[in-house]
Amino acid sequence: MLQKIKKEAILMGNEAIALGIIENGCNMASSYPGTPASEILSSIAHYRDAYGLKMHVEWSVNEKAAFEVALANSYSGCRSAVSMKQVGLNVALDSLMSSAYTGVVGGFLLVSADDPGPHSSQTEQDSRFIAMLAKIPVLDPCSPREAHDFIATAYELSEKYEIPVLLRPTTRVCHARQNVASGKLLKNKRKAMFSKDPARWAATPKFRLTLHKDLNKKLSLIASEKKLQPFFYKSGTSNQNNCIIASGVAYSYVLDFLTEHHLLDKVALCKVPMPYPLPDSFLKSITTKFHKILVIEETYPVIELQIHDRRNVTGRLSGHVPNAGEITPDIIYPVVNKFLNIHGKPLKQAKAGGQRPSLCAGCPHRATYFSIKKALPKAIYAGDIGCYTLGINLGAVDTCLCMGASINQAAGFFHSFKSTGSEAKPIVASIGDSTFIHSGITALINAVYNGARFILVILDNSTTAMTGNQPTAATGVRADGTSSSGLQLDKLLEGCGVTYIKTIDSYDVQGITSTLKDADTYTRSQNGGIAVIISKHPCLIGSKHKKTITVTVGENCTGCRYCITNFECPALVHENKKVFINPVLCSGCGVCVHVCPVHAIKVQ
Amino acid sequence: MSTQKQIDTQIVICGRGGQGVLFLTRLLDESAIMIGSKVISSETHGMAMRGGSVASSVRIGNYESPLIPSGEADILIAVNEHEVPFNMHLMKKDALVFVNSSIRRHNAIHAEKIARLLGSPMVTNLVLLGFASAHAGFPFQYAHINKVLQKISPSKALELNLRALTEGYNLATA
Ligand code: SF4
Ligand code: SF4
Repeated sequence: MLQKIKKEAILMGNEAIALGIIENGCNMASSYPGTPASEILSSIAHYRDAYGLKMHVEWSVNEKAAFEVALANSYSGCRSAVSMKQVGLNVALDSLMSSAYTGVVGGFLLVSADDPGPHSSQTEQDSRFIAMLAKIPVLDPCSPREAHDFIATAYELSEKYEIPVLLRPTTRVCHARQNVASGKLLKNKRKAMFSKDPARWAATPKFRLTLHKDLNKKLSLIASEKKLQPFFYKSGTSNQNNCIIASGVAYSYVLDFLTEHHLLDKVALCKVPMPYPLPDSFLKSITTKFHKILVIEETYPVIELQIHDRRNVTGRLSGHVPNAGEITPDIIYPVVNKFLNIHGKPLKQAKAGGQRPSLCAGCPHRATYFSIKKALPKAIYAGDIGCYTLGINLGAVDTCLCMGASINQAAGFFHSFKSTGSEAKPIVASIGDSTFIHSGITALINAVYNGARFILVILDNSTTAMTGNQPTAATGVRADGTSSSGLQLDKLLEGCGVTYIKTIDSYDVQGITSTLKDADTYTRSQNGGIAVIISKHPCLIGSKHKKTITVTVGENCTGCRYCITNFECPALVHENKKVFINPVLCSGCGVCVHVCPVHAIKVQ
Repeated sequence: MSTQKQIDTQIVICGRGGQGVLFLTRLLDESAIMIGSKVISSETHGMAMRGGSVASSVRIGNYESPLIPSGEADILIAVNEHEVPFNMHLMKKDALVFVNSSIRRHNAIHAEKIARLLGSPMVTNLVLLGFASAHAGFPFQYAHINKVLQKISPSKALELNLRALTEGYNLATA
């Protein structure tokens, strides 16, 4: 269903961002999937086709690649957009820091989606701090609509000052849906043109100092850009005693609260569209205008920290707003009430609990983790980031740090135990195919080079499942559906210096179990090294999968729940002291047959 | 444009990942737009989509922010009855609660069973919505939702989707 957005439509924040990018003459967009940013690039690809535009759209293999590819396009005078989740920006940080110095020619929009909560991330870090660290401007949209409207501003700003501009939406902007009015379609008529300027594009340390000084000048000019100044929701309220400063979606919560309780005449509400750089005049004078100031922002106290005299300023830094976690209406309302000396009625508390997520019924990862646990129950399990982090439910994931860390940490455990003469435990690293390509390859080269020994299981389901089944470099398909020569994992592994490489179907529990034992022996043998097992089976979501076998539970089921506790397939249901199989959920993978200790589960 | 009047309603939809909570959210969003209302909603994505607890909020009316504060929601649509307790704090005292449940109680329907009889448990969500749309307190009438469903359903699923919505509605009015 390819459709142009006519005048107005209800759009998810990420779609609104994509539309803004499309409308503003961008000819190159790149990304690596990550919640809550994933839908930005897929929506760009969608609109590109709907609007019949010529554009290069790519899923890059990681955020650093995405950043640098797009940057070269901006060096060539054209408009680029690169999107990622906040921890993805850590991966691209090196490139960002340097690009702030070199600057750009064509507009360069960086979207880094933060995840206060965190809902789907390992940290709730604040990308606005990264903007400050890199010395680039950051826009903090309060809604999908504003995120859309900010794109035009971001491109103008980026080109006027030749600087990358960060748009920082949060989960509640990315995944909110709202009516958004479309803008003018600015068709890209530019041709790529690269003007050589080594003092800038290839600056040596000496020239870098000059570039840094230039950057500082740009920042002070940007801080006083008229369009992006902090402003009061209602003019004339700046004579109030109290002021609430807010940015991002927190601003919208505060606005709704003040509107509903008719408080907009009682307190000044100041909105900050661009939390960095802020003009010195604002940061100095705001505290002289009001008796008391409350700053509400996500997730770190970026605005609060910049205010010079904080004696009458409260917020996340002062502890008046909780200094961790998402800001929700239920968090903000009591804080605002207290600030305004209002007795609000107490809020009803949410009941704790709920269902934890689990791998799908018939998920190949569950089968692999079950085999790992069975073959090497005493091993250290170094895990990684993806759907398969849920292997933690099966007790087969002991660590989860960040993308690609499983392999480096497995190597680290090996050297740690070896160098201290501790009893050598089996070590099993597990990593998905997309994560392996993202940042596992260099880790593996390092491990081989430095003589580590462990078992590496690559969970190859030929997709980036967690974030919505985006293709990988090994899938042989690109973001726009065209085909590419798929990366061959086994050849790559050989090239890294691995000699023990076995590929087995994930559902083959016996095969994987015996290979794991064999691999363990290999890692300990005289000429052994790193053993790699590619556990291969396509992800059930998105693949054309047919149910070929029917599995049933026999009368001899003792109702011990072993299968439910240790295997956790959602299709296994405990009812009336027995287990039965929910035929709707069951994919017919047949793996549970190997799980039941009394062999009650059978293939029909 | 439909003849429905402007409304101001806050709806919570809850269930587990994969039970069609997102689709209902979209359907209600579009239903609001079609009568010219402002709407803002919030969805759960990411890890929780793998069978974990998910909840959406739909705020129809003059709202700028996507989340519903505790004690302010008018309607709960629970595609999974086990998720009801985790969302009750959001509800007003006199809120309407529509739930997919095998237990007979007020505003409950065994939508999943009906969906299975229709051919797929995937349409449990629409049976429940059809059921809710028959209630006088529900902001959108069946006919209106039916029209929106025709607009946003993928063509392959349209026929079954419409049957599910209609069946839920008929059972409520029978
Ligand atoms: S199927 Fe087997 S493991 Fe599961 S409860 Fe019955 S006896 Fe126990
Ligand atoms: S065959 Fe067993 S393990 Fe596989 S999906 Fe069905 S119940 Fe789950």
